[in-house]
Amino acid sequence: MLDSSIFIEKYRPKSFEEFVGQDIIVNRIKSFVENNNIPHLIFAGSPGTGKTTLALIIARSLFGENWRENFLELNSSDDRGINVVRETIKDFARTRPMSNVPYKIILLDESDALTREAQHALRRTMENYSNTCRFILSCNYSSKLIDPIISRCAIFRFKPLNMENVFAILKKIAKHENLKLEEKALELIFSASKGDVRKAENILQSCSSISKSISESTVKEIVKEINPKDIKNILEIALSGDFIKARNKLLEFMLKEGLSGVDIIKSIQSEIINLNIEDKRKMQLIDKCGDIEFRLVEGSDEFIQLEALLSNFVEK
Amino acid sequence: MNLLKKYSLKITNELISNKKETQKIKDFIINFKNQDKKALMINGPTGVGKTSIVYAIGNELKLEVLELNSSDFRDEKSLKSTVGIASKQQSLFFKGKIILIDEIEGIYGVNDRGFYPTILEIIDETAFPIILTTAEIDEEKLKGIKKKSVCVNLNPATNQEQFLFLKDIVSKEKIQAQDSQLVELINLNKGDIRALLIDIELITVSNKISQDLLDQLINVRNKKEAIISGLSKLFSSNNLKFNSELLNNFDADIIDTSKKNKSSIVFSNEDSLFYWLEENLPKINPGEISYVIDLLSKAEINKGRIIKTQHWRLLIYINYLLAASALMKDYNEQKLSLTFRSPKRNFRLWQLVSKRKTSILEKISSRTHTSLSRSNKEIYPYLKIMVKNNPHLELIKELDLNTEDIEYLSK
Repeated sequence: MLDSSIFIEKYRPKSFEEFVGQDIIVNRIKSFVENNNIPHLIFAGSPGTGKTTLALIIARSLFGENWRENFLELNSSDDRGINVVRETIKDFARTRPMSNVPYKIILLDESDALTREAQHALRRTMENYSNTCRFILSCNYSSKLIDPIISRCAIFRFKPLNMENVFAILKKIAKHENLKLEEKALELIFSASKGDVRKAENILQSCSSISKSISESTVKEIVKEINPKDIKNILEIALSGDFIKARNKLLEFMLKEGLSGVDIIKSIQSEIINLNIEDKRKMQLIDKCGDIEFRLVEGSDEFIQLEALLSNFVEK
Repeated sequence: MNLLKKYSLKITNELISNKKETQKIKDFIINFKNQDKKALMINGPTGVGKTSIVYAIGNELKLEVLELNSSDFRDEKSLKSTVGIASKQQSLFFKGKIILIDEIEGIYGVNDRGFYPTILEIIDETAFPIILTTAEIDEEKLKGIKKKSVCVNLNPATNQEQFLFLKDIVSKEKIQAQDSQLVELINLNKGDIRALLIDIELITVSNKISQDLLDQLINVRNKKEAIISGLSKLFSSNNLKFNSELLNNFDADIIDTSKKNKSSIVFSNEDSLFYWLEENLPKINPGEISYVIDLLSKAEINKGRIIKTQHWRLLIYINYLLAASALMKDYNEQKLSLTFRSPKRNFRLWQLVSKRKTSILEKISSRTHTSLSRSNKEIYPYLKIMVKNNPHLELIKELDLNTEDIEYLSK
C-alpha cells in the first residue's frame, strides 16, 4: 500500500512500540500475542483512543506480511444487518489461515450499533467459528453489549489520552511534516480534542492546510469552523417566534451536514444552557430534549420529532 | 452526471420558451435609466425559469447579480444594510448590477418584519434595476410592490418545446429513452423544468431510463391531488369524529413500511399525509403550534412502533392523532379557503445531494478504517476545511476525489 497523506493513517502506529498511551492494555495484549494465543476481545472506549489501531497491530504482529489475508474488518453500523455480517464472516472463516497461527482475526467495529437480536446471532457465529476465528469487538460502551457476548470476551477499557501523550504524538507529526507548532496551539488542540487522537490529528492537518506555522489563532479558526453557529442561530429564530423559518433552517442545516437526529439533539441540548433565557425555561427545554430524544428512538421520522422540539422554543 | 447544472440556462439564446418576455426583461435592464418604474416583478410557477433567466441576462450583459433569497434574513434592518446599500453604491469604475429578490411571497413572520415598506422605499431610490420574483402575484401583500413594478408573466414551456429540449439532452447524454417515457415525464412535471431534469437524473440507471422507476414516480405524483382534497375536508370540519372517519377511509399511505432504514432521516413517501400536515400546520394554526406538532410527533412514534413490531392496530391511534391535529381552537369558516403547500422536504433533490456526499464518505471510509457515520462526524468536517484551503492537496488524489466531489466539498 502507498503511504497515506492523511495524518490519521500516515501516523497510525504500526507496532506495539510505536503505540502511545494505554500502557497497561498494550502490555497485556502484547503478552497474548507473544504466546500466540489471544482470546475474543472487547475494546471499549471513546473515539480516537486507539481501539482500531491496536487491533491492526495485533494482526500485523501475528501474521506479519500476510496480515491482510488473515484479517477482516467489518463495520457494524455500515454493513447493515447481521445476515450480511454472518455471510461475510462465514466466507472468511471457511479457509484456514495462511500462517502458523491457527486462527484468523475479525474486527467488528462499532459493535454496540448492533441490535440485541443481531448480537444474539453474532454470539452463535462466534461460537461456531471459534476454532478458526478470534473476534475483536470495538465499541464505545460495553454496557450496550449483551451479557453472553461479554462473558465470552476479555474486556479492555480505553481511556482518552492525557496531555503528555497527545503532545508527544502531535510533536512527532509536526517534526515530520516540518510544521512550526506553538506551545499555546498545542494546548488548544489538546483541549479541543479532549484526548481523542483522531480529532487532534485532524485539527492539526486542517491547520497545516492553512499554514506551515501554526499559532493559537489558526487552531481557534479551525475549531470555530468545526463547531458552526447554525444551531444557536436556529434556536434564536425559534425563540423570536418564527417557527417556519427556524424549521426550514434546521432542515437545510441537517441536509447540508448530513447529521442524524440524535446528533442534532445533542447540539441543541448543549446550546440551551447558553441561551439568553431564564433558568427555569432552560430547564423546561432541556427536559423536553430528553423527551424528544426518547421519542426519536421509538419513532421512524427524525425530522418530525425535531420539529416538535423546536416548536417548544416558540411558545410562551 | 449533473443534468440540472449542466443544462441550466447560461445565455438567453438557449431559451426554449418565453423569448418575448425575456426580451422585455432584458430591455428593462438595458434601458433602466429611462424607466418610470424602477422594479420589475417576474411572476410564474415553480421551475419555469424565473431566477435562471435573470442570471442568464446578467451573464450576457456582464452585470453582477446580487441575490437575496428566502434563506437570507429579510427584515427591515438586514434589507437596508444589504440591498439598501447596494442599490445606492456607485463606484468610480462603474460596474453595473442587478438586484434580485427571490420568492417575495415567502416573506412572513417576526424575522422579516418591515420587509414590505422597506422594499418600497428602496425601489423609489434605487440606482440599479431591482427584480423580484414570485409564484403568487395576486397575493394581497404584494399589491404595493406590484404598483411600483413592471410585471412580466412567464408561462411554462409547451409540451412540444419541452419534448424537443429533452430529446436533445438525452441524445447528448447518450441516455436510452423512449419518446413515450419523455412524454410521461413532461406530463408529470407540469412545466417545471427543474423537476424534470432532477427526475430524469433520478430514474436513469446505467444510461437508460428505467420504466420501473418511472412508474413509481407517476404513482407518487397522482396521489398529490387526492391528498389536497382530503386536506381541505379535514380542515373544514371541527369535529374529531368526522375527521377520524375521514382518515379511516383515506387511502393515502399514511405509513410507508418499505423504508426501514432508520439511521438517516427518513425522507420516504414525501406524498404522505404526515408530510402534508407537517408542512401546512404551522401556517394554518400558528397559535397552537407546539400542541399540534406534539400530536404529529406522537403519531409518528406510533408509526415507528408499527414498523418495528408490525402491530398494525396502532394505526387507529395515528388516525386519531392526525385527525385531532387539524382541529382548530379559533376555527372559522372563512379561513378555510386555504391553499396547501406541498411538503418542502425535497426528497428528490436530497437524494441527489446525498448521493454525492455518500460517495465522498465511502471514499474516506475505505481509506481510514472508519464507518460512514464516523467518517461523516469525525473526518468529513476537517476534509472540507483542508480542501477549501488547498484544492491541490495530495490527499485528494489519494481519496480519489473527482472535480464534482471537490466542488461539493468547497461549497
